[in-house]
Amino acid sequence: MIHKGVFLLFYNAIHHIKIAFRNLFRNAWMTTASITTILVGLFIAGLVIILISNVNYFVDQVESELLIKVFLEKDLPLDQKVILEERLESHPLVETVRYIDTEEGKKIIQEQFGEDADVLEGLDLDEILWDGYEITVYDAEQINLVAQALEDFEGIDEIVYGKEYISDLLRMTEIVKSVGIVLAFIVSIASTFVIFNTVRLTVMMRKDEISIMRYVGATNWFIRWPFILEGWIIGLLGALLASGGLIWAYNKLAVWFVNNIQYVQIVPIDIVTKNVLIVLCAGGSILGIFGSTLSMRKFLRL
Amino acid sequence: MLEFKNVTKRYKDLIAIDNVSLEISRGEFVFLVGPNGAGKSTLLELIYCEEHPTKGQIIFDGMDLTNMRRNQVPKARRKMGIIFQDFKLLPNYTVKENIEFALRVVGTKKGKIVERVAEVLDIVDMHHRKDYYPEQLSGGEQQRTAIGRALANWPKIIMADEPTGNLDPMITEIIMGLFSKINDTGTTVLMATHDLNVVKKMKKRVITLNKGIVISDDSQGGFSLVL
Repeated sequence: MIHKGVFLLFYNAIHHIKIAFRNLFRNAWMTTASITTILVGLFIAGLVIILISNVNYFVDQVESELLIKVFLEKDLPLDQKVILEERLESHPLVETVRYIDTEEGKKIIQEQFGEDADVLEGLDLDEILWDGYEITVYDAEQINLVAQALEDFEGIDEIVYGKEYISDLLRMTEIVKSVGIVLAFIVSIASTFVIFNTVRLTVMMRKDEISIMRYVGATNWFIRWPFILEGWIIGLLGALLASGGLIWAYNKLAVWFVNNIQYVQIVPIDIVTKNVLIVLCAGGSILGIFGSTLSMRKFLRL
Repeated sequence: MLEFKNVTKRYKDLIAIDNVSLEISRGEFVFLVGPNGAGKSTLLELIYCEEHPTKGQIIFDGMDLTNMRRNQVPKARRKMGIIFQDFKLLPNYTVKENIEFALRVVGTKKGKIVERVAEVLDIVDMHHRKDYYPEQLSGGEQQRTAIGRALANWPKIIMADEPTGNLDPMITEIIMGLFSKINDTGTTVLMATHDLNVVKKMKKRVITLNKGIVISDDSQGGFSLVL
C-alpha cells in the first residue's frame, strides 16, 4: 500500500510538472509578463534588504565610536563636577560615563599620534585640552536626544558627538525601509494579479480537458496540482532571475568597494547571496502559489 | 446496483425529476426515453454526481450518492463510464492518448495502461486509427473512441447521453452493436436517447420519463405512446 502510494506520488508529480510546463509554454506571453512583474517586485525587495543589511553592518562597525564628548567649563569647582557627574550617570539613556582630565587627554592624544607625536611639541596642550567626560548611550539612535538633554546641564562648555551622521543614516534607513516595503507590497499585489490572470487563462484553455478529467474520476488535487505548480514555477523563476541579477551586481559592487574604499566593510558576498536567495525564493514561491490558488478558487469549480 | 428512492430534483420553480423510484440490476441494458426536457439528462447527472437530489436517496454499488462529499465523487466516478452526444474528446490527443488519459488521471501504472489501451482499442475496433487525432476521424469513429475512453477504467456502469444523436443510421447500428457487446461482458448500460428506432430494435428495458415523472417502465422494449 505504501509502495503504491509512493509510486503514485512520483508518477503523478512528473505528470503534473510536465503539464505545468506545457501550460507555461502555451501562454508564453502571459508567462513572460508574470515572471517579469514578479522579478521587478522581488528585485526591489532584494535591493532594500541588501541596502538595509549593509547600513546595519556599517552601524555595527562604527557603533563603538558612538560617543558623546562633554568638555567642562575651565576651572569648574570640584563640587559642581561631582554634581554633574552624578546627573550624567543617572540619566536613563546613558550607559557609561568616563572622566578624562587634561593629563589623560594628553596621553590619549600622544597615543593617537604615535610615532608622529613630535608634531605636538611646542603646543601648549594645557590650553587646548579641557577636562571632560566620554559618554556612551544604550541605543545609537538616541544619541541626539542625550546630547540635547546635556545642553541644559550646568558646568558644560561644549558637547561634541562626531558621529551625528550615523543617526541621520539610521533615520534614512528607516525611510528606505518604509518606501521599500510599500513598493514591494504594491508590486507584490501586481504580481499576484498577473499570476492570477495567467492561471485563469490556462483554466479557460483547459476547460474541456478539466471536465473530462472530472468525468473519468480524476481527484480534485490531481486537477489542481498543475495549476499550483504553474504559479509556483512563475514565482520561483522570477525570484531566481531577481536574485541572480542582485547577486551579480553585488559582486561587482563588492570588488569596487574593496579597491576604492578600504575603511568601510560591506556585508560579505556569501551572506548576501544566501540571504537574498532564501528570502526571494520564499517570497516568489508564496506569491506564485497564492496567485494561482486565488485564480483556482474563482475559476476552477471543482 | 443502482437505486433511486423517491428522488426529486428541483431548480427554483422547475421540477426536473419528480419523486422517481427505480432500480437497475447489474448487467442490465436500460434505455431512458422521453421528450426534450423530460429529465433524462438530469437523471444521468444525478448518477454521476454532477447534480445532487433535492429530496430522496440514490445508491450506487453500495455507495450513497445522495449528498456525496466533493472529494468522494471521483471515487464513485471511477466506477462509471460516461459518454456524450458531442463525444468530448481532447482535440490535441490521438485516439490512443484519449484512452490513455482516462487511465493516467486515476494513477494507473504505465505497464497496465499499455495493456489496457490495447484491449480497449480491440473492443472498440480502433486499432487502425489509434494514432489519428479526433478531427481526422468520422463521427462514428469519434464515438467509438469516446466509448473506449469510458470503458478504460473497467466501469460497472456505462452511461450514455444521446450517444447516436449525431450519427447516421448505419453508424448508429454499429455503435449500438458495440454497446450490446459491452453489455454482454456484464457491464450495465444506461442510455438516454431520442432514437425510438434503436429502442424498438434492441428490445431491452425502457424507462419512459415525462416532465420528470416515470410514466412507464417496460422490460421488453415497450414505451408510452405519449412520445
